[in-house]
Amino acid sequence: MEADMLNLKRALRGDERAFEALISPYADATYRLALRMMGNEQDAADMAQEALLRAWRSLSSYKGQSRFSTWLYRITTNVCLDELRKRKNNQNMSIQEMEESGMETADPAETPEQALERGQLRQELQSAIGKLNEEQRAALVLRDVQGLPYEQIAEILNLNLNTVKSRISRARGALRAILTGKTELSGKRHV
Amino acid sequence: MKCDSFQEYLDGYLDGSLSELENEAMRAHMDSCGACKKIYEEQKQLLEALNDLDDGVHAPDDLVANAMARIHKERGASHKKSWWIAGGLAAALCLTLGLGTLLLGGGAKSAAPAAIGSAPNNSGIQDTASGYVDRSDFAYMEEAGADADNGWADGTAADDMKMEAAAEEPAPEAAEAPSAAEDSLMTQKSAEPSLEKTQAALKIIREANLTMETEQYDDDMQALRALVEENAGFITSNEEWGSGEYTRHMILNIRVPASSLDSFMERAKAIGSVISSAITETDVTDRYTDTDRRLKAYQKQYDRVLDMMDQAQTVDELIQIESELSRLELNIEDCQGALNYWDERIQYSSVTIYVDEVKRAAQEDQPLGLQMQNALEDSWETFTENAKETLVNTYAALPYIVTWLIVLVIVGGVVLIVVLTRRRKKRK
Repeated sequence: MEADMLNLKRALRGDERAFEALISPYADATYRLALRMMGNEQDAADMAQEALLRAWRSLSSYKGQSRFSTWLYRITTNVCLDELRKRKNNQNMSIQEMEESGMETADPAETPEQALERGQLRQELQSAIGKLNEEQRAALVLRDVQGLPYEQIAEILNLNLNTVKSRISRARGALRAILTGKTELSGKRHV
Repeated sequence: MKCDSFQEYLDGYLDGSLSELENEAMRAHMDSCGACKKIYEEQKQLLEALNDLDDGVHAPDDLVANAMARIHKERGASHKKSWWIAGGLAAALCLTLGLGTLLLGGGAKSAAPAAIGSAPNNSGIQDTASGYVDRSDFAYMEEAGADADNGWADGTAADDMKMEAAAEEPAPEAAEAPSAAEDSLMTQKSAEPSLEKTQAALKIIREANLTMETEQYDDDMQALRALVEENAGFITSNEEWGSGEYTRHMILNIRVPASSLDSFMERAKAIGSVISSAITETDVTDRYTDTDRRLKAYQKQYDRVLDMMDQAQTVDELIQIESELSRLELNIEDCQGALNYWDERIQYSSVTIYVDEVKRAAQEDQPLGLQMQNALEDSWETFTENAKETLVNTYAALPYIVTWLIVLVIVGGVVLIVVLTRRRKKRK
């Protein structure tokens, strides 16, 4: 986008407003990625902020060979991966943490029962995602939750295309194994 | 197909990246193998659930605001630190350079920006409301300004849209800067110009941007808006900030019919004083005709498959035809969408206009004497501003100064006592 390029130039000169205009469209996506990686809202908000801060600091390293969204996704992914590796001990999300985080937003069209079931499904999914190792988790989230094309994911994770595909394949398999080990997905699905 | 092959191909099948033949084989296997079918359905449900996982999830409202606040604080902190270092330097330098340019004359106003911390121009004004960089901040420019610029120039996005705005400020070294406005017309031609292309058949997307300063912000903004209306254009977005004692700034995004782009730009530049402007053109003819050809091909295919419906004998065949039709419909929609997208941008050019209110606009043809006077006034103003800030900072540092003084006194006192005691002992 042309406006993005001009904002970028201005931001490189220290124009905070331009930087804000540059990143605002990606606030949601950044937060969502962080949320899937970290598993709870508080950490997600912290990591998302950290990612935006890092983006500001390293703005001069964005040379424009990839899309801005790709670059920003990469920073966010790395910020989350770094944090997760630091916390290697607490890799598994405890159910309590997730209940406390209250991840659900209310949908007025749903009955309370439906909302509860939907919330449970999401919690299970998030918990299962949390059991994957970080690299698989990143690849899976970028592909199946964010819906990014394989090529972009390869750029974000700095891997070649085949590695990305096989990693996602294994992640999906692992996720399925975790979930079907616990409950029947089909039973909880709403139409 | 065997079950382990099925599992291997499952992901491709779910992604829709297999060929028709392979899809066939997968479906056939599922018909006969309940276990694999179950796996497929589970995986499909899982992917759908994952896909919906983020529905309704939004970033907290204050995420961006908090991030910007932290960024602002960081810059403020490094601001102060480097100010102590650069402040004195800047003040001395600006005086020297200011005197130098006054003596040199000619294009003095343009060379003045090189005098860091002296005369203000559009990005030099300390405007904390908008967060513009204060050009007296040496350290910052070293960090991010100069290098980033070179890096950016090297690596302009290799995407199809190539845009380069003319330099936003004149080169600092230029003793004689050219007049502030610089038009750069860049046309990106396709790699192999086809002989068949006639002028009329070319599909060109034209876009422009314009940066200007004005002392009569309200009048000029009104004139701009009137100009847009006159040219049958429309404003897609505007963002404004600054009010009260802070100068105002506006980013205006507008669309005008491509045919009036040139005349619009001419007249827009006459409003306010232009800092930079550029018109860029992107030739999408090749991609356009390519997509158009594909669209027609898909449509032909579609018609043929539709005809086949009449000859279908079994339910299976009907189902196959249906799915083929759906696939073609999707492709047709995609092509149509792309063509519409291009058409719209070809017919209506995007223009981004930056309007910056200044207390004194970029001076192009003022008499030398007036320029000198203005330049001196401006640098005096900045000088007093900086002096005030120094005073405030020194005052703010008072607690630390006092503490250090006390420590020094105590240490000095102790040393003194020790020395005196030793002397007394010696005498004894």
